[in-house]
Amino acid sequence: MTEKHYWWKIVGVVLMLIVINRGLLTPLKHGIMDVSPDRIEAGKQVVFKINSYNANYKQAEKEIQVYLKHVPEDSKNKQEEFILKANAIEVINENQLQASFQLPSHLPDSRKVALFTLIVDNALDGATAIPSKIIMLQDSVDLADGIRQWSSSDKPHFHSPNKMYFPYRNILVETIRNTFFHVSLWFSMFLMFGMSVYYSVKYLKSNDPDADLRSFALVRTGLFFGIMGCLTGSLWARFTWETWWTTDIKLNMAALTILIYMSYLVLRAAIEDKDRKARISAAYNIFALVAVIPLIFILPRLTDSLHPGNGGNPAFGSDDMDNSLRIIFYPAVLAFMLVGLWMASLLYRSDKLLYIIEEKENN
Amino acid sequence: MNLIDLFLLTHNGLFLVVNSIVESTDFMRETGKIHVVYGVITIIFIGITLFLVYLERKISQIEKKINND
Amino acid sequence: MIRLLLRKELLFEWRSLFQLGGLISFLIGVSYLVYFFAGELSARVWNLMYWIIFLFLTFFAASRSYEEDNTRYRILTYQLSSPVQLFIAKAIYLLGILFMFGVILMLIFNAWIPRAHSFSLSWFFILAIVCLGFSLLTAFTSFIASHGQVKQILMVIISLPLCFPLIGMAFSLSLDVLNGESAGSIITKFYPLLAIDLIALALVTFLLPLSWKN
Repeated sequence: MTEKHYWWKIVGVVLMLIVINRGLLTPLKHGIMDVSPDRIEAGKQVVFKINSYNANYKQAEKEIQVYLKHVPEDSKNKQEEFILKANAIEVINENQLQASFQLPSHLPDSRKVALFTLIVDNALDGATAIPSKIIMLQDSVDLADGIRQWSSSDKPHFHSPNKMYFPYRNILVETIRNTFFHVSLWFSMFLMFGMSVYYSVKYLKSNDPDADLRSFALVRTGLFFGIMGCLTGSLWARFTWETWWTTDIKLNMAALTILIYMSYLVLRAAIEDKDRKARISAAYNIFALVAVIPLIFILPRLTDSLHPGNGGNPAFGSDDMDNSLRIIFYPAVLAFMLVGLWMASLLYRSDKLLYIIEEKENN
Repeated sequence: MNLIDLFLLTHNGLFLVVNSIVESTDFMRETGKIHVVYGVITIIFIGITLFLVYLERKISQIEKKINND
Repeated sequence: MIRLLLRKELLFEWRSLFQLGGLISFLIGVSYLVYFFAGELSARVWNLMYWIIFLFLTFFAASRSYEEDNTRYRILTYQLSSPVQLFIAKAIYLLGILFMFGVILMLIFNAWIPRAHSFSLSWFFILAIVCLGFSLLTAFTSFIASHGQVKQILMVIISLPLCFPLIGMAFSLSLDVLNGESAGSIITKFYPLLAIDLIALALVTFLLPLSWKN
């Protein structure tokens, strides 16, 4: 894979186009934005007003079903769940509907309070749920009666949509698409820094100035991606976590990585002699990356994080990455990496030209 | 409503906080916050433009050196 | 050889003892400032103050490491010994100095702004591990910075981000100690700290012979 070959650049750009196209145009699955009331009492008639996003309730009016679901936390059998079907549904508009339930007098839970999940299902959009949103209270506990009353309803059939949808998440909503454009930047950054360390090692072994130029170009591209990642992440955080910057461990790590490579640039600028500059900065580069690795793999496991996969697992868990996201996320990472390598190769080639011209001038 | 009971049920303090954030409706937050995605892509585009400017200056430097010879 | 080099370091220090005196007066001055203006300190702030002052102290102490060798002298030393030996001698010397200053800072802090649990064995254990890591890191960065132009500033700029994981972990560990947790309950938290030290040691021994050449 050399600079003069075109095929990998074309692959990068085509992948990028696919990612932008699919990442922006794939619709979001319909999701429940809010439900009122969310605190109800057992044994009463209740009418939920459901506010949804991206739904087609008017079109699918005949086939809409609404359910209340409860999975007891202390149940020995994890598969055990209780479902109640709404007895009347009234569609207000495409995104709003009302569902009324006749609640049984006892909960299928041994506590006085239980959390319920509300599920809306229709043939057009598929099923969606708002997990553990509804809080139900009961005056007296009668587990056996509760289980009997809640078990009587027939097993529901949930539709699954035949089109591709991105999952709906409250608060995130459409910004879930940023996964492709923000997270890929960081992956790309790490590839750049990793490769630059490879060339630094190569330089220290062979003293070939070419390797130093490659390493320097890769560091600058990596830093570019890092700064882009910080800016985009900051914007994303502003409208989801309601702040530009937090002391979240991943943000600290990112800031630190950028600081380290900024000081790498300062170091290069501060050393006059070319040969010495290359050698010292290669040593610093290796040292810096290996000092960053403990940050990435040890520190996040010790503290909680707002980022997905918090507390113990720095990667994406199955909960955070839907298959529909994955199928675009991996190409996105590859696309950003290839485009990054292209950028680095352009920097390297122009630096190489300058280097050759200066060599000629000196001779 | 016993709050401690509820806390025991959720086992997760964050859940309560997240659910209590009120959705406001300014420009960036309307229509499912799609403008945030536009913003992110714009930032990336501006970044790539700045990269091009940097490269342009580098190439001008090379041209100058070649023309001086 | 390393013993000889250590003796050389000590001799140099003895000839310019005023530098150590300057560092101690810096310690006393800053601690007094904290005592005078901060009033009653919480465990968190007390801890932070201690490590921040210690961090700056490290930079001051370490930036002298490769300073006093002028070029002619350096060539002579490098002919007589290997750069790794020289580096190890400097790091060991720095370790001694840093640990001494850490203890002195602790004594001063305890005299003016006393804090329960601070004068304990586990605290000194943390201090020792951090000193080991810092002496390796800063001796290396001062070696790197000695090639540049504005040595002192360059030294601070390049070592600050590298020191961050070490100081961060030391901070959280010593906060646990200050809050009265026993050494047994925080023993697992020592391992990452030790791991960073080992990584730094391995890297330095790998990189120094490669990066040194004249």
